[in-house]
Amino acid sequence: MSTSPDLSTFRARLRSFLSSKLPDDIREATRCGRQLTRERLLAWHKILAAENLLVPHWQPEWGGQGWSVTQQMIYDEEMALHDAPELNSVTFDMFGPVLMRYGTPAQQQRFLPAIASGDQWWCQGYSEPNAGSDLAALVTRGDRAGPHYIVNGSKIWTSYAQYADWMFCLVRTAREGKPQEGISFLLIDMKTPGITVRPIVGIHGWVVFNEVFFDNVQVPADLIIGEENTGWSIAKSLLEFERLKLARIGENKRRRARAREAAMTRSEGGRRVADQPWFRERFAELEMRLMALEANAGRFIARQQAGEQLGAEVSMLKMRGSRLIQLWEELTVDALGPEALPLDPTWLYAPQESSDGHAAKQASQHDALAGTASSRRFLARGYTIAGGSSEIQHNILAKQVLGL
Amino acid sequence: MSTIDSNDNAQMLADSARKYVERGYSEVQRAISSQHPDGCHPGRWQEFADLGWLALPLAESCGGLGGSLSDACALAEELGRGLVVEPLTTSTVLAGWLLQESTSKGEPSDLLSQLADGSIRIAFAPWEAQSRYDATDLQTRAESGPHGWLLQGAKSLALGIAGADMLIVAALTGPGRRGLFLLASDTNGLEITPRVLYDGRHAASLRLNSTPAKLLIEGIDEDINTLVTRALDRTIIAHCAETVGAMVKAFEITRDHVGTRKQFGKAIASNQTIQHRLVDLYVEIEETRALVRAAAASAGSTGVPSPHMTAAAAACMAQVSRHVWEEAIQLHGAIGMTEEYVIGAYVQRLALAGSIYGHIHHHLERLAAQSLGEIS
Repeated sequence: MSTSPDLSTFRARLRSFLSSKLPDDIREATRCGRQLTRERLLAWHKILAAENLLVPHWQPEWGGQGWSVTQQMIYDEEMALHDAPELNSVTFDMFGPVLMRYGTPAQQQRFLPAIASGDQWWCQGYSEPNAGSDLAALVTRGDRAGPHYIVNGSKIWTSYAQYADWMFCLVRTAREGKPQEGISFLLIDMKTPGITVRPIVGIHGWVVFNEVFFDNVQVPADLIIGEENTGWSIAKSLLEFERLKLARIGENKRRRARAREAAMTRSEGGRRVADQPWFRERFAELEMRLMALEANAGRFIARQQAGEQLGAEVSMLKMRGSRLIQLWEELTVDALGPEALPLDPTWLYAPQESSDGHAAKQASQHDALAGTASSRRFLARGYTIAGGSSEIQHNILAKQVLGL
Repeated sequence: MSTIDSNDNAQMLADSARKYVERGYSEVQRAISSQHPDGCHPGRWQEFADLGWLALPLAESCGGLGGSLSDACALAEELGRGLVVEPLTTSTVLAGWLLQESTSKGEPSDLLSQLADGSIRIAFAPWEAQSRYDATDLQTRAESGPHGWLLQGAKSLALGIAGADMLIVAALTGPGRRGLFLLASDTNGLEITPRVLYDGRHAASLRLNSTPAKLLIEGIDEDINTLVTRALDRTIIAHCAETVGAMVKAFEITRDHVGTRKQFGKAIASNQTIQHRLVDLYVEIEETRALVRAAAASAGSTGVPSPHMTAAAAACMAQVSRHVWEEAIQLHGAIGMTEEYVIGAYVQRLALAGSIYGHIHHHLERLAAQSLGEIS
């Protein structure tokens, strides 16, 4: 990462903002791996928006600051290192840019300011029970009836649908020809009659996933993005935004710090875990992989900033960054030993407006790090599944980069 | 594979080195170099000098070209890709730099200009048997007498020593003090035991028995250790770059093989399991290359790379080179185990690469010590 004076000042400003403006309860919950409520997340969005920091990577005409990729990477890293929650990339990194590229002026005016001000949460209605990696097999139908599309069917594994105000959704609008050619991209108000959201509790104790059912849901026809039956290419282009971020360097560094902290504060065999040969070797190996990932991402950033179009080879960043997160979580669990085993709801679901004194908070952190380690380890499994599984990334690299 | 982030100098150097290797360093010529008693063909070495490669990493004030460590690595990567046997890295990046840094600044050195023009070759023997990979752990002693310094001790196997005209060794000079010494390879009391390695490169160990030597630099342990560690860190990174070059080529050979070799009526590369394994190699090699380049760049204008980056690059190279050679054999099948088929030489080079400057565990512990502190 470049260390030019401008970027150092930039980083320092972010640090000072995060130290003073990130609410304690949000920091604490994020640090300890507790799921934040919609209310607290939206409160944090409003704080960021007030400083122009919610969508700084957007162009100024839509409320952004037009940040460079390097600035965005620093931002992500500082957010992670200060225990700010991971922002909902579906809304800010994927849907926003899609709307800027493919939306009509009316659609842009209606949604972009609301997103930039932190008022609106979007979810992504892609996967279905029989359309996961093979997304084009989706069958939820959108039938045109006068001024509306009538949507019937169901989506599953819809992340944060329980928090969402709106969904962008892929529906089948034609059944002839190739499956990819009969898909449309609709915007659906989650309050529309006929929608049922069923939260799915994960093995980690969080509700990330949902099943969403559509029973004759009326969607105004002007809420289609692009032309009818062109949704596939729009959906695919969405995955091209922010591909560099999918290295998740900041998220990896956050976990590196936790693994280190666990090893420094716990003992095994009469000495610090951090002094155990098995831990040292494993930690160093993951650190080596993180440094390699960061150096590799650095090359892509340099290319992008030089105006080069990045090809399918960027897939390697997502593939490696997502796996590395899992390895850090495994190491943390091993470093904590038996402390990581109990499932204690008071840790997972602790109240988020905390009035504890500082000393009490410090004491609680020691336990909380352990109390939610297993939850975080399970949660991390999602990284190699969502957004194109690691196996799909392998296929992309094999076909499009290696020509196999 | 892409070479996307080199600066222009390094890129030009890499291009010309690749052309040189493709035109003039075939398997037959590699065998000639390897079978030479010194593992370094004199005509070849003179060509390296004429191309400016020997002068590249030396300071301009010493008759060098003032190239950065990144430049040296760009060259090393291409020479590794061509499995060049001659000990360029150990002569220039290691011994040349050590000589340059031990010589008073600004003082012109005949030795350095002779090194740069190819008229002499020089090597550094860093390690001793008891320490294996820790060049700061010395037992070799130097005694000062009426006829100058005499050295007593032994140095273990290192590249570039066989056939070198001059050698540099470190020895203890007194309590808390040590020095670097220079001696000609035909000095009385110096016993050199040459060895040919599995990859065709030549190495040697040496014994010093009341061997006269010239003092280059002397000082407290810490200062001399810092100098030696920095020189070795540079060398480790250049060695990593060489190995990346060899990995890339081994990968390309393997990819071509599975694309043409047919079993069950189709290319074996049409099997998904083969494709995914190649992707893993490709990604690991790209990451290693990125990390090694970043480590080289960390040296900046001082020529001294970050120890943290060096340890990470060395560990990464050791891990990935092993993965590449093991998979290269497996994906080739039986032919991958033959000496006569081209991949065999790459396998041999890569298999040794992760041990020459310390195995992966050594470098990982060095990294751990920097991140977690020394074991308390």
